[in-house]
Amino acid sequence: MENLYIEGSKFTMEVNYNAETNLCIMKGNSYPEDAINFFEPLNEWLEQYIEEINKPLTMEIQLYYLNSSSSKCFMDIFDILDEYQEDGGSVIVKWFYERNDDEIREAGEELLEDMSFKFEYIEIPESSLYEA
Amino acid sequence: MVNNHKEHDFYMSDSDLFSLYSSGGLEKTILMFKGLLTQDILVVLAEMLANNLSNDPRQKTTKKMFSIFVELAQNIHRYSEERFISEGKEIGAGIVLVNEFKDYYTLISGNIVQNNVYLSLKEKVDTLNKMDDTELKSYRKEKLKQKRKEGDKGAGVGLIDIARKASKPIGLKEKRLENDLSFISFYILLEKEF
Repeated sequence: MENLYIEGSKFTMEVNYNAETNLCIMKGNSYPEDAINFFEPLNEWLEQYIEEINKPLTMEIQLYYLNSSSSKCFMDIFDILDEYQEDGGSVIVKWFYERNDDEIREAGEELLEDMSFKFEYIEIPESSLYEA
Repeated sequence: MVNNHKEHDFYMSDSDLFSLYSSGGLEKTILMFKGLLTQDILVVLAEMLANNLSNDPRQKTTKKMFSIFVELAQNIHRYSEERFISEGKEIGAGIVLVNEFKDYYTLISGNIVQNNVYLSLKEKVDTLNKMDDTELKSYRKEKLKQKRKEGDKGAGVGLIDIARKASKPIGLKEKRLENDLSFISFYILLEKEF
């Protein structure tokens, strides 16, 4: 299956889903005009990956800011991964946050706390929020 | 929505820009915008606001401000009844105003909606204003887990996020207009944290 790459912008994440390395990376700001529309190909890719590749999957997420509709879309992604894990798949989600960025750390905790797959929070040094 | 008054009226009108500029509501203004809230404009305003607030964009207050501003502006973008086509998309118009005071900021947003939209927003805001932090957190979780309604563009979580980040209860005012329309405005207060 094909890999999925979406270039980042000031208000949308850089997305890099790779079916050969089994690594899905999302990075940047997320407050798109239409979040559902932005996240749709991501969900479709994951569904297809689970169907066709079915290997242990790592997801790395490094955000600076996400709006409320993006939070909902992340919940959709994690629900897909949760189901994959419960059906015998293997998933680990790494949620990166900058030192002192309680907002992003908490956003991750609230999304991930009940998930059946493995997840970890990784602190990284501060960078400048708007140079992303 | 276009005024058809003659040029003569325009030059002779009572709308004195200085009185608007220096009125109580605007003297502390760090940002004011009225018009179409396209995504491009929204991004520019949000970034400008964040850069204006402090030299350090990591400050807690700045992040909260950014977040509240985006939610308010995206609400206008999605739900304003006053809509125009921009680059093939329908975009809502409204007004946003951010003022700075010694210990806090205020954010005000306004737009036109159907009366019934105001009524349902009022109910939501009243509910949120009665909740404490723990209740807001679990209510948010419940909303995130809920299936979306058909055609729902937002998550229904925006107002909850505003309520959680704001320092005081959310203010919501209504001015009745003709044809079952209302002008609504949100009043949000954000204390400065250091």
